[in-house]
Amino acid sequence: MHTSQVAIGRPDHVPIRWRLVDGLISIRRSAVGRRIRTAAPVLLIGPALALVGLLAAGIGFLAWASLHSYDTFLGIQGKFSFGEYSAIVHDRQFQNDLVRTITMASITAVIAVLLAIPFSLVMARSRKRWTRLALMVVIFVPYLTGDITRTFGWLAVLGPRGPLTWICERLSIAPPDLVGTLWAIGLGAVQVLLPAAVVILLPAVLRLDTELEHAASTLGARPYRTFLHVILPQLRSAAFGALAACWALAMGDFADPQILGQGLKDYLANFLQNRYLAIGNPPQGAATGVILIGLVTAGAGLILVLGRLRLKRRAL
Amino acid sequence: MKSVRARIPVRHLLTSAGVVLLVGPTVIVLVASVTVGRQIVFPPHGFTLDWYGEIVRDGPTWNALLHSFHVALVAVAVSLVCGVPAAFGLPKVGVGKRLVVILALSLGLSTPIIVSAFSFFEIFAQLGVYQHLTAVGVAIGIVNLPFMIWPILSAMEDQDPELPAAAATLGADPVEEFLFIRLPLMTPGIVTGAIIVFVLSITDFVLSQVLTTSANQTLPVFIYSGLRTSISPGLGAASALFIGIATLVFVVVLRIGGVERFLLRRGGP
Repeated sequence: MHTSQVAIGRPDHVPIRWRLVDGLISIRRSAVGRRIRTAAPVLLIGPALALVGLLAAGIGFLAWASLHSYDTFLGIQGKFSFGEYSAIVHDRQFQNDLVRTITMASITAVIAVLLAIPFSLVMARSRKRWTRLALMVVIFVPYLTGDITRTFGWLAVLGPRGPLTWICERLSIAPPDLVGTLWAIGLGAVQVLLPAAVVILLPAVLRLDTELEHAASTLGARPYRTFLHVILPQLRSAAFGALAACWALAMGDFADPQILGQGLKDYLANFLQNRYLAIGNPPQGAATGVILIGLVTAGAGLILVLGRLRLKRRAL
Repeated sequence: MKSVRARIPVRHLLTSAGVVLLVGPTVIVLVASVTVGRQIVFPPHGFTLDWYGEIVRDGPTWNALLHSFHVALVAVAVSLVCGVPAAFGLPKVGVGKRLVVILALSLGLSTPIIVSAFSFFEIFAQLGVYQHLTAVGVAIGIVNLPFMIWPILSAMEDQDPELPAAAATLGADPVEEFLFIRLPLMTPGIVTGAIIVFVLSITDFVLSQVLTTSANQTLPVFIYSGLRTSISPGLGAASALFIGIATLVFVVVLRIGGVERFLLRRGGP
């Protein structure tokens, strides 16, 4: 009461915070304010779009560079041509890395989704809150600790004198040297793909109609039949969504082949960097990047379409 | 009922396998970081915290850590300045356009990270800010922008749609309604987003290894250079630092709430 009396008597004693608010209100009511309001979406989203535009411009630059001939000796850009594309398509190393990337991405994505289905079922249906919380914490560990800590862990697990060697020695098996092999890359890849698959599957798992499962078991269906014919069909579109996302992520994997494959089993991502920096042929690296974006988009789209097609056939 | 019980072991077996896959290596890093000796040996022997002291004492490691903080703070600042307004602006856009805008803002997430890295490499070279730590932070901020926007959008969806009307009835100007009602309700979403972006930025490897040099490399790139020579407990301690940061952040985010509700109750009955 006292403050408001003072405020009326001497306007300069109004707290600064309220004067600011009043200022904002009068701006809002003015003609300028109306103009700001109509432009609000642009003003609010504009800066973010401009930022992303920086990346888009960079991708455009890569595409432009990939479409011009390049003198690797002089480092000079030449005329418009598809020469860089035909050069890498006929490159043995590119072909090997391409086949390896697609094969490994497909295998690891399928394994990740197959593991994610039981994982998300257990996570969503556990009656104990701490189990749900623990599983939730666990799926974020690989993301929040980052590529380096994650792959460092695998090097320590798989490397000489690590736990794997120790277990093999206990079991009297010759310890395998997995670092630098596709096995190591696959383990690392599934570790990052699994969380993504779980996050995409969870909403569908939470929507599952448990009445249907009870009905199935009342009618005498065995657990695996209930799982195959009742649970899986309800999860189909989410599972395909998860598969598409995992495949796209796996295709672009850089850290796992780089660190766990030790440059012996490169993916396209590593091929790109080698062309760019080690071999010093940026346009071929750029062309690889454009091909990678094309492959990822087309492949993920195809997986999503396949998921839809099967649904339609079933429905008929 | 018998059949329901018989199903559980297979699921739990696979889930346990998943848990081991997800956290096994991380646990080994933690164990390795406190062992005595220059090499990581299993089963571990001895206990020491020397390797953590080494992070502070060793000049290059400490510098790399400072570089990482620089990059992460820039990335958080960028996401706050550009991501938060964008999240507030999105509901004002029509449904059709909104999808296009969301897809555009997720460009960094949908493009293979190595392609983004070299796109920034080229564009920064054109702009003359190549190999600058602040530029690296901006790049990481752009790629992680969706992680700033999503938590805010989900906080908005949780909000009571009657609140603006209630505020107006009580005589609040739209400005006051925004400042004293909507903004405070959004704060948990904003904080969650900022924290997630911070963690993802400080642990970034792929972008940093392209965009930094040996003079200004961040901690993940520094550890990577070390990994090529030996897998020592010293590097383990540096990696374990990230585990510590991630754990701390996760506890904070869980306390603020949102993650559990976002993941486990959404879409439920």
